[in-house]
Amino acid sequence: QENLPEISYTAKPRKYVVAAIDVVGELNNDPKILANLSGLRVGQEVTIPGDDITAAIKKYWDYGLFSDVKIYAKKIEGRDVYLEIFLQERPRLSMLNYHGLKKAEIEAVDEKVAMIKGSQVTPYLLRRAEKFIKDHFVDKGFYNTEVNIVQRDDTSRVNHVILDVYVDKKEKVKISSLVFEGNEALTEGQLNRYMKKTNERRKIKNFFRTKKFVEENYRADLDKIIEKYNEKGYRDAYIVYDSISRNDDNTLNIKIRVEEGNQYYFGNITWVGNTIYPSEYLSFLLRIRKGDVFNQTLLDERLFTDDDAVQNEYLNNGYLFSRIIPVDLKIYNDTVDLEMRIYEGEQATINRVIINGNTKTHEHVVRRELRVKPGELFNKAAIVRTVRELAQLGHFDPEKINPVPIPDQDKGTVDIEFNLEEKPNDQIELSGGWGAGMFVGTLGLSFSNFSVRNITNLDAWKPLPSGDGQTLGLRAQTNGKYYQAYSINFVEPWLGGKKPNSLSVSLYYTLQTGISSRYGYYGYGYYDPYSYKGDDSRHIKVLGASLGLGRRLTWPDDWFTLYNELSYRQYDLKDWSFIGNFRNGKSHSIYLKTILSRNSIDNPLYTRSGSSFSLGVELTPPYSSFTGKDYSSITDEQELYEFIEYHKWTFKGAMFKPLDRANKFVVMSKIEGGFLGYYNDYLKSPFEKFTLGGDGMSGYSMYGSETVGLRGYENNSLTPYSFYEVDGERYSMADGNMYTKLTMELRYPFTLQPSATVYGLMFLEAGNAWSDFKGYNPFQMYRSAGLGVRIFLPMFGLLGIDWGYGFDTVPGRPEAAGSNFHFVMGQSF
Amino acid sequence: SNYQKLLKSNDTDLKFEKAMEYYNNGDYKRAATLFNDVMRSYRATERGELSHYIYADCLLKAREYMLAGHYFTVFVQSYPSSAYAEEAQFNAAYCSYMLSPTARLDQTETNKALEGFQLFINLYPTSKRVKEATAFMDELRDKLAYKAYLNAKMYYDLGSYLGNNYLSAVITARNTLDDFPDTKYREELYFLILDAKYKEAVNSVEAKKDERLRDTLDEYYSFINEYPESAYLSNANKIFQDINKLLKSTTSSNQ
Repeated sequence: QENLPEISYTAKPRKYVVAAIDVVGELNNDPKILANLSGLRVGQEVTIPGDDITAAIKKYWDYGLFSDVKIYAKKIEGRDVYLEIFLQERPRLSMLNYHGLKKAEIEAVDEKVAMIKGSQVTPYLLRRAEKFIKDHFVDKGFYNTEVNIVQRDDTSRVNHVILDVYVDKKEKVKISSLVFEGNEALTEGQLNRYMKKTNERRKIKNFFRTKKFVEENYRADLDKIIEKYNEKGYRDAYIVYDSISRNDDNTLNIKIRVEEGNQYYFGNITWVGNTIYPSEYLSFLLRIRKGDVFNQTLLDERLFTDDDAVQNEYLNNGYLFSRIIPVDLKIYNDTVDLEMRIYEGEQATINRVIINGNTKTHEHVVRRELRVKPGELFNKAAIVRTVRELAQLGHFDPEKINPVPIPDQDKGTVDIEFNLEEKPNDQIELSGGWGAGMFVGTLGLSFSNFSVRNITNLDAWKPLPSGDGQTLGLRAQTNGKYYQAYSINFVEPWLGGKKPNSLSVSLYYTLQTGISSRYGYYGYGYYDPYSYKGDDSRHIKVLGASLGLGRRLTWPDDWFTLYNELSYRQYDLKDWSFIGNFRNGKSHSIYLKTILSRNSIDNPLYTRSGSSFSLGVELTPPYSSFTGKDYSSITDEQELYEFIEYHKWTFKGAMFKPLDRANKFVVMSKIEGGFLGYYNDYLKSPFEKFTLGGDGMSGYSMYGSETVGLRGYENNSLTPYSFYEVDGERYSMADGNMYTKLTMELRYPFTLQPSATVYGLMFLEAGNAWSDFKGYNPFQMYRSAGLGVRIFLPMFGLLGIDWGYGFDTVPGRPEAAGSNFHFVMGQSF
Repeated sequence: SNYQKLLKSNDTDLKFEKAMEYYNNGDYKRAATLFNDVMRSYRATERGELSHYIYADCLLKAREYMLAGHYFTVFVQSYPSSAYAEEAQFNAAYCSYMLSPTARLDQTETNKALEGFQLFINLYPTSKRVKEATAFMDELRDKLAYKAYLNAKMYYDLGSYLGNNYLSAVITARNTLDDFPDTKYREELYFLILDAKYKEAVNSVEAKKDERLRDTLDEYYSFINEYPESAYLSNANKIFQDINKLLKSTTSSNQ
């Protein structure tokens, strides 16, 4: 550096041409790339002294990668200048160690700090890291967290450093006392309750609430207090001061002084600018009257956010651009006169409906469900209903369905964009085990987004052809010799693609034999006469097929659906003694089933509102009325039961209502009942009866009866029995021809993530089953209460466990009532 | 094995050279793992640039289009003046092209590919691959047009289920013609508009029927004007005759 040319800073600046740029210093980086960073090029004309060089130096500093930058002229030859740039690079990070933290904490913090090995360590990054770590723990209530970052050279590598981050979280800061002053209209208890996340410790009422002090939450809670005052008409309420003092034991005392001011009331409300709806109608919709306590929150709700808010009247009729601005016209004494200034605007027509995020489900499967179509007027209610129905489809995460209107005010049109997120919707059931001395296994597969037309397209098999919204279910269950069941079912929800007429096809076969002496003699709550005889030559085989067509109705309203099904079922019995006096032979049952149902629930997984009702009737032809036989004299069981005849009626209704403002607590009330009737006194169906009690699992049991659950009692324990005689011996048979059941459930969700929906429930239940009308008494019910939990996992469906307590003693089965646990799989009605 | 030892080694230069060897021998999965490793160490050096590019290229050749696209995009942002920038820009778009699903699914990747190829053409208008990019873009635009055609067709099929879907079909098809005027589905879309308008008119209440029939008639003339030898000609003519018959009966009943 001795013989550098001199640059005179006092003389007139001269222009030079850059002949060469050299970068020197202890460099980790490629000198050429570093030279480029300067923005200077060889051949460029620069003024010296002048801005070009200054700008280059500034650029280097801006990169933040260098701790020293110098640019000098090494040589000047005529107009040529040879530049040399000296750079001192900042050290690079070779290791980052945390001290004083647990592994999980380190992971959380490290993600935020985001310092990558090999990156340069700058003062800014260190400060940032310190701040991030501190904020992270302050947010968690560790108010006194100290962070100390020590930088030391890595002796093994040149210009590399090791950072040691010392974190001392100290103890959590908790709140010792919380005192209010100046409050008259609201009590201390009320104010305490409004402060959701700032609570005193060592108080029973705060047992479940957080006691730690987090500044941010505290400030939000202060705002909440003012908000609550405003809701009660205290428009002028404010916090005069709040003081926080520290105690030695790491606790705080908080004192809050409020000034409540006067309580205000609504005065006259006038409407201006409305041409479509008369003022009286709008006032009627607003449902706020003169003299009501002034409540800004209520006003906003009634104007904008409620389902039946005033603005929705406009928004449901195309007036997307409408605005309502409430203005305080006059305030006198304690009364506020309001003027609602309305800008109605033009009606907006929907131009495009865009569907995003359907990475698996084909677009038409979504689009055909939409109640929002190009050419129609904008309608907020239709969008809300569409969102609800898309959630019902089950292919998308209901909590993330997001409709976005994109208005074009100049053209008077609006595009509606539906942003969706697919969620896994297939279910696998695979279980196996050793029970009652034999292997029991189940394999069940349920694909709810199947695509039949892609079945030949090999590319679509990933892992199965999907996207058309069809359901395919396969199930096989066996324990080898004793019991086997196979079923396959398929549903196409839009047969032909033009109308939502669903087609369902199902086939099933079950085989049961009465074997194994080792099989428990008191089995599953019924007496098994073959258990000790060990005879496997006896069996019941059930083979069936059904074809169903469902249709959405538009009348009485469009929540209704009608389902018709034609079914055939064949029973093949050999020495089987569970079905009354029918023990041997083949029996055919052909029936027509019709179900009328109405379903308006908002979300199939965690239902908050809406209701679902269904009325079903199942009929076989009345063979006995046209065969002309005298059935009272037929004794041959095969002749008697060759064709089963019956009529069966069922009713189910459930209603859901949210109880709190956060829409979390939900109460469900349900009523159901069924009746199995006959055409001929001497030809009552031995099948299709109801069995009551227990978990209600297995909708159709192998005995050709319908299982109805009643928690708090053992499975099937509430089924009435009647007696019959064969060859002078008396036998009993399950004979539930009618039942009634009432349920009330209170539910609370623990988590509503798509990866797992978990909720808890408390229930009250009552029900009974009877053999005939003579015995029917709706006030004579078996009652129970209990609680349980439900977990929905995408791959496994709904799983649950309930504990119930049955209050009423079951005649002849004293052990059936009392404390009972029930496992639940799959969704019932 | 040697590869496992290499993974654990701290010798960055050795890893780089071996990675190049794997790359040249076509073992892209192994090469990718190694390049991913050395890339960070070489940050802001000449080898950093090279290993970043080759890493992305390995991913591309191993058909990891999602990751490859990401790294090509980052490469273009980090080294805009690199000698590989042109190729990287093209490949970034190409990865999206490969990820673009069938027309019935979400088209985010299709749009990304279209933007990417457009950017490539703007940045390197003289590139040899412009022709290729243009061909890809035509294909992708046709896919979007086909998607829109399917939507319009679905509305047409829904007919009068829950409202007037024929109108929705017409609007959707018109928007598509505006968006993709030279799509190969133009004729189909055009005929769909005619057909939907005809169905809408026939199913209209009497008050609107006459006007809609005449409107359909106009549509018919402009259709046969543009496609005098259309494959749908006989269908169009049938519509034409039917409209005339209906118009005659409505005018006679009005008199």
